[in-house]
Order: sequence, then C-alpha cells, then structure tokens
Amino acid sequence: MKSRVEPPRIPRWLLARALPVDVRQSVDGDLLELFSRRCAQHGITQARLWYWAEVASFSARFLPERLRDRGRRREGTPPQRRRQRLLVASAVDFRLAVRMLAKYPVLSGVSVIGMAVAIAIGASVFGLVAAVLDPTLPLEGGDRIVAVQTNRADVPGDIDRQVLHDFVAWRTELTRVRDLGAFQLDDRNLIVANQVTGVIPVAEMSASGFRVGRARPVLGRQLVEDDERVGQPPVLVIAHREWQRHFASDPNIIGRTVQLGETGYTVVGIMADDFRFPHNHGFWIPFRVDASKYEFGAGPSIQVFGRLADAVTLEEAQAQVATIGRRMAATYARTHEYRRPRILPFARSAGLTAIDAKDAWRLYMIQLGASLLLAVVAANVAALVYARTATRTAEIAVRTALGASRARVVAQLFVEALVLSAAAAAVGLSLAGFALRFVAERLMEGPEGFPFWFDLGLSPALIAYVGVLALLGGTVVGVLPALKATGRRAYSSLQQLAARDAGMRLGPTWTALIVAQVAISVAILPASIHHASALLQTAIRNPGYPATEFLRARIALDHEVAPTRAESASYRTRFDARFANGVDALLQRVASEPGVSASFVSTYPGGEPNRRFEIEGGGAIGSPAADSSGEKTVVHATVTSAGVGLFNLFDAPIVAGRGFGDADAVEGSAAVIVDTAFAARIGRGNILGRRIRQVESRRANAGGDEGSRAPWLEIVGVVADPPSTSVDPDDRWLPNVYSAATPSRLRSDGAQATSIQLRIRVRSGLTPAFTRRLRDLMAAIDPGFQLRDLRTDETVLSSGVRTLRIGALSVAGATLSVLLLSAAGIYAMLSFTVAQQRREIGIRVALGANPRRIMGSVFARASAQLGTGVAAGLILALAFERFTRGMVMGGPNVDGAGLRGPIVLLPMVAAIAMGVGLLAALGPARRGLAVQPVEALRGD
Amino acid sequence: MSHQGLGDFEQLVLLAILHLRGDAYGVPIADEIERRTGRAVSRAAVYVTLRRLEEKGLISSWMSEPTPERGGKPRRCVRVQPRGLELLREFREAVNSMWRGLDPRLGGAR
Repeated sequence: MKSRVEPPRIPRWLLARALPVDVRQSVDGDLLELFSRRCAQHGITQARLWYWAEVASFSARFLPERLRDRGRRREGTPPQRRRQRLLVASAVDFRLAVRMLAKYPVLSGVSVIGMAVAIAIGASVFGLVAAVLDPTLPLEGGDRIVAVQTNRADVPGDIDRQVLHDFVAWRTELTRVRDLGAFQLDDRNLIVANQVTGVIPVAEMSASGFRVGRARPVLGRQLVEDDERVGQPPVLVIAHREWQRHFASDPNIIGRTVQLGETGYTVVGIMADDFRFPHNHGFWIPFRVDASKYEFGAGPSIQVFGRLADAVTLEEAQAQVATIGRRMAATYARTHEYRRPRILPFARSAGLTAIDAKDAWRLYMIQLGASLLLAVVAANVAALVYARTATRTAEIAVRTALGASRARVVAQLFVEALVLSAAAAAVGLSLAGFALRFVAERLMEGPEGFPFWFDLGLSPALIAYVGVLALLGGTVVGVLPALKATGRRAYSSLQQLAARDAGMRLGPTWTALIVAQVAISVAILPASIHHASALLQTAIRNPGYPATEFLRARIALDHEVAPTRAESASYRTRFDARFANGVDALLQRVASEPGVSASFVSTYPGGEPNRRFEIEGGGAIGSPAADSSGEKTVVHATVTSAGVGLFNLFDAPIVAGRGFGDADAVEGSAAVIVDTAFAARIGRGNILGRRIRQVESRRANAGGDEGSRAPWLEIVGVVADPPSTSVDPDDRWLPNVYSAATPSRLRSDGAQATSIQLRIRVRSGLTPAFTRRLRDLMAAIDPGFQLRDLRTDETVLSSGVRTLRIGALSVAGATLSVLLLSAAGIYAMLSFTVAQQRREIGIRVALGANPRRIMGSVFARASAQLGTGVAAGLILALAFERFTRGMVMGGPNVDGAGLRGPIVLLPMVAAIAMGVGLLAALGPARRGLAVQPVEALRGD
Repeated sequence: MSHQGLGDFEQLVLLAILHLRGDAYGVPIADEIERRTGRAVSRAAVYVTLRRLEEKGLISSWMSEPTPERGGKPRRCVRVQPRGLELLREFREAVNSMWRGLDPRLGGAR
C-alpha cells in the first residue's frame, strides 16, 4: 500500500516551535489536510513550496501572539513588566525588520544569498563531521554495544582479524562484555526459482547479534545458538525489505529453501527493517566455524562484538580484555606477541566512522574553517549593513532625542540583522539538506553501501547548529554596525540633521575595511574560480567513444568455506584454476554471442591508480607529469593489466610498434604498451624498446635498495588514447601503461584477490535480456560465479559527471556568492565614502575649483584604497600559491584542467575589484559635481 | 453595548462561522471567506483572529475526534457565542444607520 505523502520535515518542525501550544495540533492537522489536497491537485513539489510559504506566514503572524502571551504570563512584578514591554516592543521590531528586508531588496538578496551559501557549507560540513565523529547505533541501548578489535603493535594502524581462538578465549574469560558474538562478511549469489537474481551481502553471524541489537522477528524466529552447531541444517533469516523485494512478501516464506551460492538455506525468520546489524545487512546465516580445525592463531577473518555488562564502563571492559591479551601474549608468544585487543564502541569499528581520535582534530579544524567562512561572509554583510545604517543616522538621532536608549536602538538594529540571518539560515538549511541527501545517495551507490548508523539526515543537533550560526551571523551583521552607528560621535552632531548630507563620518576603520575587503577578494577568489572551472570542464567532457555500448562488471567466485591451514595451499590452487578456467570459458562464450566482444582488465593491480615509473636513460625534461626525483625522471601513470584483446575491444589503434600477442600474457613477460600521453612524457625519438620500471614511494626509495625494485619492462607498442572511464579529474590526466595477462596470472599476482573486471562491448547496448543471458551463461559455466555491478560506461560516467557537476556547481555557487558580496561590499563602501565628500565637492566647485581636478582627486583617493587592497591581496595569493606548490590556483605543474594559473586569474580578479570600486566612486562623484554651490554651502 | 473592538476581518470570520453552521474550523472558514468575498485570505490571519475572538468570548471552541487523514490530529471546531451574535447585530445596525439616506446618491455607482 502506498503511504501518505508527508509535508517537508523542517518547516513542520519550525511550525511546531512557532505556534502557541493551544493551536499547535489543530493548525498542524489543518495544514496536513490542505497539503494532501494540494498534492492531489498540483503535485508534490508545488505542495511542498506552498507548505513552506504557509509556515513562513504562520510563523510571522503568530510571533507577536506568542510574545504577547509570554508578556501576559509574566505580568505582575515591576521587573517582569519591564521585560514584557521590551518583548512587545521586540515584536514591533520584528515587523519593522521584515519591512526593512523588503525595502532594500538588492541588499537583502545579496546578503541572504551570501550568508545562506556560507551557512549551507557550514551545516553540510557539520552534518558530515557529526556523522563521522559522533556515530550512535540506532538500536536500543546502542551506545553500550561494543566491538573487540585486535590491533598489531608491530604494524601501527593494522587490525588483525584472524582472531578465532582469541574469540573462544574471550567468550569464557571476558565477563564484562556479555552476548559476545562474531561475524564474517560474504557476498553470495541469491538464487530464487533457479534464477540468479543478483549478488547480496550476507552476514554469517552469531545468534547473540540479534540479542545485542534487541531485535524481534516480525515473522518466524531469529537465529539461536543451536543453529551454530556444526551439523545442524543451514538456516537463513531475512530482513523485511528483502522479503518484499526478492520474495514478493510470500506469506509462506518460513520453511522455504533459498539458494545462497552453492548452499540451500531454510528461511526461519523475517526481521523488522530497523535491524541491519552488523553493517547494513538483510541476510543472516549462523556463524558456524569450528576453531579446532584451525591452527592456533589462524582461521578466517572475523569481527567480534558484544554488549557491555550492566554497570560496566568501557574502560573497565578494556582493562579486562587487555589483561587477557597480555596473558595470551605471554603464553602464545609466537602468534600473539604483538596482538593488542581493545574494546571500542561498535559504531567506531567500521566504515567511515572508524576514525582515530588522533585524526578527529583534522575534522574539527575543517568544521571550524567552514564555520569561520560564515564569519567572513557576515563581516562582508556587516559592511553592507553599516553602509545602509549610515544613511539612517538622522532617524537614529531623532529616536534618541525622543527618549530611546542606546540599547533600544541597538536592539532594533540587531533584530533587523537577525531576521536577515534567519532567512539565510532557512535557505542554507534547505541547501544543506539537499547536499547531505546527495552525499548519502552517492555513498549508498558504493558496492557496500554504508553502515546503517551513518546518519546524514537533518538532526536536531544540526538544526541547533544552524540556529547558532544564524545568531552568530546576526550578531556580526547587526551588533557591530549598530554600536558604531549609535556611538558618541554619531550623537554629538544632532545639529547636522539640518544639513542634507548628514551622516556618520567614515574614518580610518572604513578605509581599512575597504582595503581588507579588496585584499581578501583578490587573495581567495582566484582559487575558487580555478577549481570551479576545472571541475566544470571535466564535468562537460565528452567520453569520446560510444559509452553506451561498453559494459563493465566485476566477476568473483563464491568461497563459502574458509580452508583450514592444512588445506590452504591446495584449496588456493584449486580455487585459482577454477576461477581462471571459468573466466576463460566465459570470455569465449560471451564473444560467440552475436554483436558481442569481450575482454577483461584488472584495474589498479597493487591497489594504487597513481604509480610512479622510472625511465631508463631519463625522459623529457619539464614535461608536466614528470618530476625529477634525484637523478631519474619519474612519470606518474595508471597501470592496467588486461586481456590481449582489450585494444581491439575499444578500436584503439596501435600507432607505433605492435599490439599484444598471447606470448605477452604469460608469466615473466616484460612487454608493455603505453599510450601516447606516456610516450610524450618520455620525449622525442623512437621510444620502442625503451625500458621503464615502477618505483616505490619517495620514502621507500630513499634507501636506494636496488634489490626491492620492480623488474624492468620493455615498451613494445604505443596505443592512441584508449578510453579511460575514471571520472576522477586527477586520474584522467594520467598517462597509461598496459600489460597483458591471463585471468590466472592476475590472480596469482595477488593483485585482485577475489575479483577481476569484465569489459564487454555489446553493439545493442545493455538490455535486460542481455543481463539475463550473461547470468545464465555464468551459471552454466560455474554456479559459484558472481556477477557484480554490471553497468554501462555511460552509467558510470554520468554518475561520476553528476557528482562532479554538483561539486562544480557548489564551488561555483560559493564563488559567485563571494564575488557578489565582494563586489557589493566594495561598491557600497566606496560609494558611501565618496557620498561623504559630496558637500566638500560642492563647496570646492562653489569656490571655483576645476571639476576635472576634483574628479581626479576623488579617483586618486579611491584608487589608493583599491590599489593597496589589490597589492595586499596579490601578495597573499602568491604566498598561498607558493606555500601549497601551485595547488591553489593550478600553477605550472598541473596539466590541462582549469584556467591557467595565477597569470590569468590574479589580474582578472584584481581588474574586477578595481573596476567595481571605480564604478562605485563614479556615481557619487558626478552627483557631487552636480550639486549647486549655494545648496552645498547652505549646510554651514 | 458597543460593537467597538470588532475589526473588519473579525466580522468576516464570525459571519463565515455562521454560514458554515455546525461544521466550522480553520480550513472551511478561510475557504468560505474566499468564496463569498472573492479575495485571497491569509490562513494564518484566520487562525490568529479565531484565537483573539475566543479570548474576547465571542466564539467558543472544542476539539473533534482525531482522524487518520489529518495525521491523527484533531480539528478545532468553533461556534459563535451569544455575545458575538449581539456584536454582529449591533454592527449591522450601525452600518445600516450610516447608509440610510445615502442610497439614492450611491445607488447609481453600485
């Protein structure tokens, strides 16, 4: 059944807080009723917009009511009555503030956009940082669920998961943690009605996992300890959502047999959807590993969890497990000398939230930076507001003369700023909501999704944070200009009211502000412009080949039973042979299909896309991707091992030398083919026959240990740019090195422990029929084959491009808003500075001064201020650029993407700042010249 | 008794409640005013007015049973109190007396 559409959560939450208690429920109900009606009539988007507008209207209308109520409640004693007066007066201030927003639409718009972008960035970063640093398991008593993890003292940061025997010992000795259990993670083919429906993540988990999570089945039962005994029939528990998705909510599911890989399991229970323990699982089978079969200290890779016993703290449990660890290290020194077991909150044990406290400060610094961004933007807006306040000196002076205290006037100006920042906060919060949802979706698209406790929603803490940001923004924007505007100097010249141009004197502070404003713009903007343009260029790039025809999929093989020590070597040999034969057979079968050709690749053998190659005899000097490391020339490149048919698959022509032959794929072959980009790095002349080899990182290489170097490889051919489907802009510009391999060689290299990537070209594109056919072919060759992540290059590229585009748009949005603010700030400041001199100009004209000379002096002053700012900004920008070695503005060592470095960007931004500033000075100066001398003199 | 303190919008709301008879709450009251006057009405203003009218003792309200289509939220139903009726009548008399004698002159303009 389709559930009812709910109105957006944020405005509903706001509404609940804006309304008095007595009408809250009925108004909420009435708006829900109207929202449903709108959804049916105009669609959900329009209904949501309408809901936002209604909430804004209700909040504004009921605010005075709430303040009045509060005032009434407190009526009685004199101090409270005073506060009531203040509150009622504040209600008027709010109304005035809204009117001021409407009265200056450009200023309000620029300020709200600028602050909203800053708040959105701050809130998004807060959401991410909070989700990473403060994870809580959304399970009953989730904060007491812990993981027992074993670190290696000899390899910092390494976690030893072969802890089967330790787990057995902990189960009897670790009394401060109860319901101790273990799990191992696996991917299996799910076969329903003899059809492979896909590869699913399965948790092989102790029954205590269900107790730890305090989960209840909605149908049947959960796993029990009995299921774990060797020899019991295999049983399976499924999540409610998987039951709906794969079994059409079959009411007779209990007792039905479901095939996971090679084993048939009897379904015994359905769990509610909120239970996803241990990571993000929907299929559970019993943890059934016999420790006695494994040599001590060996065994499958497992993870251990439990719940802290009542009244036991994490530290107490930690002390106990450390004692056990020390005892085992002493008793079994050979295997346990360096094992250091520790207890940590379960939410910190895996995924993005497994972050060390040592690294946490980095995230806090990023968050602080993001929050400070608002302070910078707010300072800009404050300057704008200050300039506007300068025009209201007369109004402020009159109010003071009529008896308003300074606090009262400051309060009014503060409320105006608060309304401005509240509007920005509402927009910023919505933007942050979109951004976080987008990030969550991208993370979910990954092969493993993300842990169920990684929550990127708009939490109350996040909303409170935005509230604090809004208050901070309001304070900077409102209080500073207000204090300045109501200072002694502003009051001392009440008589200036008679003069037409009465206003505040804009002294050295003002000049400093202009200089700082220009300097910051010139220093920061080039970097943002560079990054936005680089991202946009990458995002709009054409892949250059028919990406819809190319499919990619990962191929893996079930390995349901972990081999015991004795069986390990023979198991691996058998497994490798089975895998290699299977892939060979599959490639042949696929290629024999009409309109289909296929090959395979192992992307990134060795795990790193960015490998460094040393060229025998040196390479081209000064080529962008080459750097001189010691005496050698080093080229960064992506390495791909692939089937010999890869280039044919992509119709990539060999422009020099030869293509791969079968002989190149055997073990010990040193032949490699490079792409034209790599060839360009090596330099002019014949590069065929030149030798290259991988080098370790600088640090590893510093020792100069010749023995640990990779063997020399010989370049036998050059291929003209085969398509890269990497969407990482840094990867795209890397040259490529290819070596030929067979599936078995790839596996024996240990490069791809469990899977390789299949590349298939289907002229008709990816159709459901082809997917079915592929699965059937695989199942016919080996039912243990898993086909994972089958997608077209088009899908991969467009998903990457979408991410890049959003990234580019965010950076461009932030840059534009800063640019807008800077321009508005510079314009407002200079325009007010010159407006201040209007009377002076008029008097000088009256006394017979040459208008041209007057204009000259006005522009000279403005140019001096602007010039100082530009100079300071240039120095700052170049210092950044130097400090970060060209990363800020894409200096000379970054190739291709983006505008070319400081040479273009710095003068451009400097020119914008100068242009805007001089334009701002022009108007008031001309108006000054137009003032009649008599009129100008009248003020005195 | 004087009809002072009864604003234009308050009168419209009171009259809408009377038109709706027993089925008056926020949503239909706003709809009724829009339908009869042909002018857009801020719903928030209707709720604020209802609250004020109740404070003045001109209407009374009670909560209906919660319904699932309203997310389990009840309706606040209202009815006009005798004092409200009395003020409306007085206001009408006052308006009528002000109109008296002007009809021939303004008749053509209507």
